[in-house]
Amino acid sequence: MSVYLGSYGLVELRRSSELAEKASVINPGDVNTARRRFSFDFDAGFLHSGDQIEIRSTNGANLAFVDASGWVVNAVQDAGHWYVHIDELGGIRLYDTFDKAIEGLQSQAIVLTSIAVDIPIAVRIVNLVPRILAQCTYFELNTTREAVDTTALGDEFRSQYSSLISGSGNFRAYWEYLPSYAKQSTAESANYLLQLAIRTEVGSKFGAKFYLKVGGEDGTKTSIDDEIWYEIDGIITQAGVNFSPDNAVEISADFVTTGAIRLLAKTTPANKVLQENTGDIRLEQDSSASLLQQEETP
Amino acid sequence: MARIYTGRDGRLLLGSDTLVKVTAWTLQADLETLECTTLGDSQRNYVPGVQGFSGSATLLYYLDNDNTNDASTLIRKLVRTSAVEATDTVTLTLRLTDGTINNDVKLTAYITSASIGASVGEVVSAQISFQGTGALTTASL
Repeated sequence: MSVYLGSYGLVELRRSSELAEKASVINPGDVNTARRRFSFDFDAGFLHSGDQIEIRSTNGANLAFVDASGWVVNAVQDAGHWYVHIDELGGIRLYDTFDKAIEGLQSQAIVLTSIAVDIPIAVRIVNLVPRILAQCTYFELNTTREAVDTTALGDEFRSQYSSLISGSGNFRAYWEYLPSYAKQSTAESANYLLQLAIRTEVGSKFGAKFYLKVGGEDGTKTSIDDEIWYEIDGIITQAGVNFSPDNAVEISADFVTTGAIRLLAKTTPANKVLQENTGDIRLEQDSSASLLQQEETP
Repeated sequence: MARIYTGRDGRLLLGSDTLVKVTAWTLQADLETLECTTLGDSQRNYVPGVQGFSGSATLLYYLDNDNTNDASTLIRKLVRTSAVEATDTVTLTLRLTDGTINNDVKLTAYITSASIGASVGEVVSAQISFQGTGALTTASL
C-alpha cells in the first residue's frame, strides 16, 4: 500500500479558444519588415504571447508578407501555423517555437516581406501543445453528479436517478510571467491564467490535465511509469493575485468544467505475452477480424 | 390513534392497475349553486345544482421492467391520430391508503389535457388533467 504526496502531481494546460475564426485584412502598411512585426485589426486580449495561431488567406492568395524562410517547406503558402508574440502596441511577431514567442526577441522572429496589396485573412487560435503549469503549488478538482428525484406516490424511500455531471476546481501557482528558462518550451507561466480570465473575444476556455500520479515517481518498480490523470476542458471563472511584501506573489484561479470529465490511466500491464524464443510474435488476421495494435512507445 | 396521511399513502389506479410512477394527483369537486332568492328575502338562498369532478396528475415518463409505460396509457387517450370518441373514458381511482383501509374516490373521466416535455437535467414527466363524467363510483375519502 502506498501513500502519495502532492509533490508528485502536476497540472498540464492546453491553451484553447471559444472563437472559431477571426476574419481581418493585412494592409501593406501593416507590415514592418525592419522590425519583423505586423498587425491586423483585433481587439485587445484576442491574442496573447505564446499563442499558436493559424493564418489563412481567404481569397486563395499566398501569405506573401511571411518570407519563404518562415515556412517549413521554404516556400510561401496560403496558410501556416506560427507562435505569436504580442508587444505593448499590439504588434505581432511570428516565431517557430513557443519559447521564442514568449521571449519576443526581434532577432529570432520570422522574417517578413513587404506586400503591395491587401491580403484578407482568417486567424484561428490553434494551441495544440499542452504545457505544464509552472510553479503550481495546489490544485483541486471536484466532480459533481446531479441527482433527480424520482420518488413516486406510495414510496417509502426516496428514489434518485443519475443526471448530469459537472466539475469545478481551482489552482494556485507562484506568479511568473516567463517560465523558468530551462523549462521554457514545456512550461506555461501562471500569468497566462490571469490573461485568460479577462480574455473577452475568445473566451476563457482552456484544456487541462490534472495528474494524480506522473510517470517515474514511484518507488515500486512495476508501476513506476504509471500515470493517472483527469482530463477536462474548463473555463476560468475567477482569477486573482495576492500581493504583499512578506509573501511570494501567488495567483489563484477558479474554473468550471465544460464537456466531458475523464479520469484516465496509463498503466503497465501486469501480464505479458511470453514466448520461448526470441522471434517476433506473429498475428494472423482474416478479412473479418479486427486486431488493434498500439506501439509501446510513441 | 391519530394518523397523518402523506404522499407515501397516495395511489392512482387506472382501472384496477396501480400506476407506478405517479408523483402527484389532485382532485377538485365542484357544485354549482342555483340562486333562488326571491323578493322579500333578506338573505340569498341557493339550491344545489350540478356536481362536477376534475383533477390532475403528474406521472414520470417511465418504462417499467415489463416495458409498460403508465404515462403513455393516459397520454394516448388524447395524443392520438384518431378522434376522441365518447367511449374513450378511463376509470381512475384516487386513493389514500393506510395499508388496510383504502380511502378512495373512483370516477369515470375523460383526459382533457396532457403535456409532456424534456429539459436538461430533469426527468421527463407528463402532466395530465381529467374531467369526471357521471357520478362518482366510489367516494370513501
